[in-house]
Amino acid sequence: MELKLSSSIEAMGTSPERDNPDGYWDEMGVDERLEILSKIEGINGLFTFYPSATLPSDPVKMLKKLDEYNLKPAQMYVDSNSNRKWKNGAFSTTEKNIRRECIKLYKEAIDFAKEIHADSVLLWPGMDGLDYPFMADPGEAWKYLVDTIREICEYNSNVKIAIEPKKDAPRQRMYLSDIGKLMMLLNEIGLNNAGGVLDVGHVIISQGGMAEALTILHSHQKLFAIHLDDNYRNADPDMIAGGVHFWEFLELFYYLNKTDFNGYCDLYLESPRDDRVKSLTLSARLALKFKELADTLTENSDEIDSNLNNYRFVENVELISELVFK
Amino acid sequence: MASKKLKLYTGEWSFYHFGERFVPHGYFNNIPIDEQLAVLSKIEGLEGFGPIFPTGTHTNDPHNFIKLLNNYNLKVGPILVDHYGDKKWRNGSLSSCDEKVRRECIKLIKDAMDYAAEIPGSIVETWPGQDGYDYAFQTDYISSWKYLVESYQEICEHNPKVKVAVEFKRKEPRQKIFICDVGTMIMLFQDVGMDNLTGILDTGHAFMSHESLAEDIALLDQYNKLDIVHLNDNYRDADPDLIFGTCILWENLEMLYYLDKVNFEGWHEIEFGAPKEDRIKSLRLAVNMILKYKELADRIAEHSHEIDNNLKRYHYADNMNLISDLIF
Repeated sequence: MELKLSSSIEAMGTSPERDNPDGYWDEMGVDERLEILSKIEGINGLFTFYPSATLPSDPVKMLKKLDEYNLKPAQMYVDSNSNRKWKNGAFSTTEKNIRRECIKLYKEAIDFAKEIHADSVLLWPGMDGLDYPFMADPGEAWKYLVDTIREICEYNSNVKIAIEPKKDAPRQRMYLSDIGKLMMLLNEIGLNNAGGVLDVGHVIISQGGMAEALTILHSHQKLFAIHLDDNYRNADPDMIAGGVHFWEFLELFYYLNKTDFNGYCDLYLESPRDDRVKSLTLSARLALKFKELADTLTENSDEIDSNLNNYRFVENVELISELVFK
Repeated sequence: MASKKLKLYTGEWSFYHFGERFVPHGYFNNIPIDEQLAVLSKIEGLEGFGPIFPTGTHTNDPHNFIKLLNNYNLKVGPILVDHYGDKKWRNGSLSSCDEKVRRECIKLIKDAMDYAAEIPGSIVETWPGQDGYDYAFQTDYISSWKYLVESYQEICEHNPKVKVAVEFKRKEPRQKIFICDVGTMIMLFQDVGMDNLTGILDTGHAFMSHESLAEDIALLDQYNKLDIVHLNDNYRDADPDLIFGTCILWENLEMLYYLDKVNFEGWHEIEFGAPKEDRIKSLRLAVNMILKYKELADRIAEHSHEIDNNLKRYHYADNMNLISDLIF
């Protein structure tokens, strides 16, 4: 498996916090950020936004800009979350005019994604959920969610739509909360260009197993993209992947090899206090390190898999420890 | 519209000695089955008793079991298959990579289905609680999921007239159980594709998974996959099977409101562990709490037009004002 890493220029943003909305850093220029990205070993993809506040709004000009820095378009995130009009949800709201507006936005985004040859369009229904009992009708919401996303996916079957689950934040309960519900949605939609995003941080806060989540999506041919980040299992601060967890990331990369994943792994990073360039560089370096260690494990996969199939956990840990530690 | 009466049942587990980690033999002695049934027959609102197959009472002869329950004016509740409480299931039952173990479990559940087929309207409960893992690099997820799906397919094909119910749980005894939440359970149903495979909503398991009970009911009902509800409570971080409604109010109330809304007619199991408290008193309290919540849910259901209107327009505060006035 070839490891394809991407990042957005927002990884070098100001990372505002609740109690310090202006963040701890000054804004960096767009070209400065692209220049930095182009020089980080391992990164060759740019995660873009639609609509973009910083990059050209014309697809030809955007491609030219990426070419200048030898970056390829990776995932393209469509912003159906950061406007007050989506407050009751963009996809599942009972307000028909809002759902129509959301569908229109995605259709325009899909046209744009086609022009720049984006790897996939990222759809995250982040406002679609509820905060209290008796606040919304979840059965009706689910139907709208499915219908809205289905119409978006039907618009152009050649453009991949990668859908991302998350348990909570900003809503206290999101409808598309985990890999099981994501698969439920994808099965209901039943379209080949509708797939899933494995955001590792979101799996961790759902107390899930990242390698297990990967194999579920892979076995249904629904793994379109991966977001690499880390946390302490109780919130999603988009920390550097591998900065908290080790064994589960190693296992994830082992299964990336096993399933021959060929999509983008995005370095999904917020670095509010630490040096942004150093943090992003470390993030890429750790991903390459995990890949290198996983390759060593893959060379011994017969023994590792035999241990798995015969429930010899202790033998596996002994073997893997020998392989990965100096 | 008059709401339906709840069909409540319990089983031998209500009278266990409830061994704990540090006191494995528990604090009580076992109660003979006739004494258990005599107690149950006197608790108002309770109408069923569910056997444990094959380790429970009279599970070698369904007709004798029906006769025994008739003596106490009780009906046969869902039949719980014990495919977790033996060392042979330590690496899983239906998902085990050991073919011999899988065959043994499939046979056990088919035997339970044959038993259930002799009891009109009865249903078989399965809980793949040993089917999961504890560590990274311990389990082959790809094979395990495939075996789990294939096992349920074979079981359901054995007798499509007997319903087989599945219960999800996030963790315990395994640190991660494959069928961990309602989404994964529905995915299992989609992968298996059999009409007689159905779902159990255990409220304690849903709380532990940080799920919303009413949302789970709405989703399962849409798939026509809700047949049994297990009623218990907890503090959202473990599954001690506390007495229903003693920890969480709003979500339990909303659940009963939705059970009525989707016209649920299945069994409600009273599931509780009372390791230290008097078991019979605890059981009575559980029944009373359920009936009280049902009474409150019926009261607010009389205002469902207004409540549902508030839901659609996201008037949450109006709903809480209305419901609080109705129940306090």
